[in-house]
Amino acid sequence: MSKKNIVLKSSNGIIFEVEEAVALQSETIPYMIEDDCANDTIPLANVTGDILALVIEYCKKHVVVADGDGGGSSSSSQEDLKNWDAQFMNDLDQSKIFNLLLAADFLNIKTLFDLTCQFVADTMIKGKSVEEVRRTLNIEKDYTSEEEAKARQENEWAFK
Amino acid sequence: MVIFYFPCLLLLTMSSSYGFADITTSSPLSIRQSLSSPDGSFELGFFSPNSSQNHQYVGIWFKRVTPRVYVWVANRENPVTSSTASLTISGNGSLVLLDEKQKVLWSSGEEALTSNECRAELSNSGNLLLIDNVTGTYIWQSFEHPADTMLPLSSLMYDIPNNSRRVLTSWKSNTDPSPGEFLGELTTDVPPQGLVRKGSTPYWRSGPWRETRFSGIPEMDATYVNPLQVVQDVVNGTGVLTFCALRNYDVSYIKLTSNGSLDIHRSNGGTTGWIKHFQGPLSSCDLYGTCGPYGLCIRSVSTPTCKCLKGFVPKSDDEWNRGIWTRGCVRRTELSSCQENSSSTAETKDTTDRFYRVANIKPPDFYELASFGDAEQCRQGCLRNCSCSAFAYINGIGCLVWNQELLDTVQFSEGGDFLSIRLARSELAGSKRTKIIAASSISLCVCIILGLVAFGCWRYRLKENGEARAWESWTETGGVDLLDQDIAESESDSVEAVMRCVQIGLLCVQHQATDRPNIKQVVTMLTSTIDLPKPKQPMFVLDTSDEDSLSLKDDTMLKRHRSCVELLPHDVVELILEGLPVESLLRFKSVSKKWKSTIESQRFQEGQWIRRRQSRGPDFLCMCLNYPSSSDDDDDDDDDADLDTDAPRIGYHGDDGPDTDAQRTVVVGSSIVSTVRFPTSGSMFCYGSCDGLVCLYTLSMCTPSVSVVVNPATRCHRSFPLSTYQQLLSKKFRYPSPELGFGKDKVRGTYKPVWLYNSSELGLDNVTTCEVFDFSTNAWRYVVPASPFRIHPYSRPPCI
Repeated sequence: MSKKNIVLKSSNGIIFEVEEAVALQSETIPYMIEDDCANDTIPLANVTGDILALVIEYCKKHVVVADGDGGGSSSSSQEDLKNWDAQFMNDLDQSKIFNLLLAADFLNIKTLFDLTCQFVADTMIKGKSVEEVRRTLNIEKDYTSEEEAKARQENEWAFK
Repeated sequence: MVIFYFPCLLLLTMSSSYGFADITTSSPLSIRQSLSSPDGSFELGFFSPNSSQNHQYVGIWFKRVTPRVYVWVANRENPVTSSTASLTISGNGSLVLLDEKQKVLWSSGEEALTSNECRAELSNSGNLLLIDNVTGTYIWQSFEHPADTMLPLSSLMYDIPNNSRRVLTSWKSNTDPSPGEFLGELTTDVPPQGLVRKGSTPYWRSGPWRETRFSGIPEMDATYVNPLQVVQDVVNGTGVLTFCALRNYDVSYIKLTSNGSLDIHRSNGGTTGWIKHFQGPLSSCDLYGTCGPYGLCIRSVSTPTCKCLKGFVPKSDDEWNRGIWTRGCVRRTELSSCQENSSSTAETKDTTDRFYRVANIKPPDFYELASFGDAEQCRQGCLRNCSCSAFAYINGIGCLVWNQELLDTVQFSEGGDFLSIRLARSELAGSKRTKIIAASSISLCVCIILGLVAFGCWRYRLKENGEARAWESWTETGGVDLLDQDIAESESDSVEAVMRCVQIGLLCVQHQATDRPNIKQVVTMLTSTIDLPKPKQPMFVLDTSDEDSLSLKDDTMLKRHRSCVELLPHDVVELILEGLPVESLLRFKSVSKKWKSTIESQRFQEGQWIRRRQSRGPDFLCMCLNYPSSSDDDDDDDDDADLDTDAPRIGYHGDDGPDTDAQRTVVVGSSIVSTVRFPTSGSMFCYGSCDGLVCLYTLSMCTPSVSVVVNPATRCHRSFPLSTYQQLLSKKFRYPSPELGFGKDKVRGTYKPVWLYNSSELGLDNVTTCEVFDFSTNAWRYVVPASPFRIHPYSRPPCI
């Protein structure tokens, strides 16, 4: 049985050819195929090439091969996959992580989205101060000083 | 797991073991005596910094950590040389150190004039306080007169109107506390910097303060939890730098050493010793002005070296090559004759100056804060001002400009800020850099347009400047003229669909991330007929006809993308927040109003609860009863001491520091450690903790009985009245069996404590009685009829 390939094109014009099963982990791409917008290549204009490469790397690792021939990369145990995920995320810098998060949201790849969300929560937000979080996520402080002091006071212990 | 004991006995053993409570006129402190802080962290007494005993000083040190570190010294300049001396309160109410001839070696000052009696105490934070016995006010405190050390909660400050400053002064040497040559202070610059001076010469500076950290200390990167806080009031001419305790460490201090190093040390107490947490200066590049004016010190780990800034050459090649850098560099090409007030068109002329941008920079000294609102205005403002030699637009500060020579500029291997240096145009000939910056500064977030366009299936109509055309089309005809003529005229349905698609497409390319719909909203918009918001004009100004458009486009695309990313859509943020523990969420209510309302919404809380349960696996409940150890008994809160210190403690202390308040600590689960005030002694637990809620109750002979439900994760608790059963039992001095049950009413979604007990022997009519507490009415009610059969009194309690 010949495997169907799908061609994805990043915003900066980089072409990726992947097996259909890999691409279909995205719940967005099937819409694009169905809508016949994708005769030859599927343009992903808000995902840059470096991020798309990461997404594909992730999807290849997590692809579930339906037919049992060979097994290959899909035979990784749950534990291995978990370790791989952790290593995968650890190697990324903050800007890549945010872009990956947006790409996973746009492409609707739930496992990758959850993984990235949790990673952001654990490493960039959890133990950080309010000011750091505002800066990391570029959130404007809309409290007045008194309002902030009050909000802070309500849960003073959580700031220790 | 219930432990009873006799609180009244315990109370008697509580008296303080420290012989010295405070210093008064009648009880001075003499050599070989010492005064401890109530919790035993600090000690005040006489010490001799070198082995010879003939120079004694009065100082404060950490009592529990070795090696001993002196954090404050009174008589720095006048050591005690006699065999007797005393620290006492003088007649005018100041704290004085007298030698054997009653000569004043040191005094807290004359400002202490008061007619009232005074006493001196050492606080738990290591602050020696002179207190007016009548009014209770602090007349003097050692934190306001620091020596070479800052403790948590102490501060450095300046107050221009009152001409006062609080600074650190180093010791002369490790064994000589008299004032040395180094001085640490907070400068009056805007924003301020930390500065160490050697005599009157700057020795090391921290760089300007930016919201949470000093910009010139790369070790304090964005992820560093800074123990320092700076508050500056430019209008009133004051600034304060406060040292807050280092997270997760018992004790810490900042010391300006006798060789000019500003060190932060930390320790977990006892014999674990001290660990150096921070040191400044660290590299020879950190020393002030190492490379002279317009020099750039490359702060690499191996060999720090000096370079001239781009466009500058050594003032003296000969000296420079021999490694004598302090005379610095001079401009190679003079700037164009600058015309003040020239309009913005000036920069298009070929003669005007340009800016060269260097990365990872510690901002040079002598900066001025300009009021320009963004990076482009900052650049323009600097360009218009002929004396402006550089600018930097720094997040958390704003626009800094330099109108003097650039001194003490350092380049880090990572971190730091961008500095844009003004150079003659010819210095940058052939460089596309300025052009790219200019183009990127007007760039915007169009990064998601095409994908969404594909979604709507009309991308085939889009050519090079499709977005701009779509905007024109939408404003003129609602998007219809993007459609083929014959379709537009025939099928009215598709015309409407196209108009809608165009509008959605335009919404997707709004400049502000908050104006853009997320992908789920887009799907909803496409598949329904809900009203759409009106798009604002997108900002497409990218000219792609330029010959080097390709490289330009790539560069701006990257920059654009980065700025997009910093604004995550709020629904994504919500999902990230779901992955956080409760403690973090409570803290992050202070991030913004939107976050607060999200975190407080029931929908979010339920989602977070489910998600945390799934991701973490089953939580377990473990509690044990502790008794306060004698060292913790010294409660400085007298009102509570009698009632509270004798009560048991449940669980262990978290990282909340010493539990001097005699609160009950409740440990719940594998992930939550929490302290909850439980105002009674003798605790029991309800069977069945529910969704992380724990119910406790007491039956005590000595103190009032109380029942309380605690959420250890949020530390919220709510007490509830005693049931009839509990009231009956307490009169009979009996303990309940079975115990109190606790569970969730699945129908109404509320939590309820429940008793089911054999009641005939208590003189009630029924065989058994069932009481349920309802939090909405705050009352117990009977469940009738209860079981007509006696229950086994030692079985598990009832469940809801």
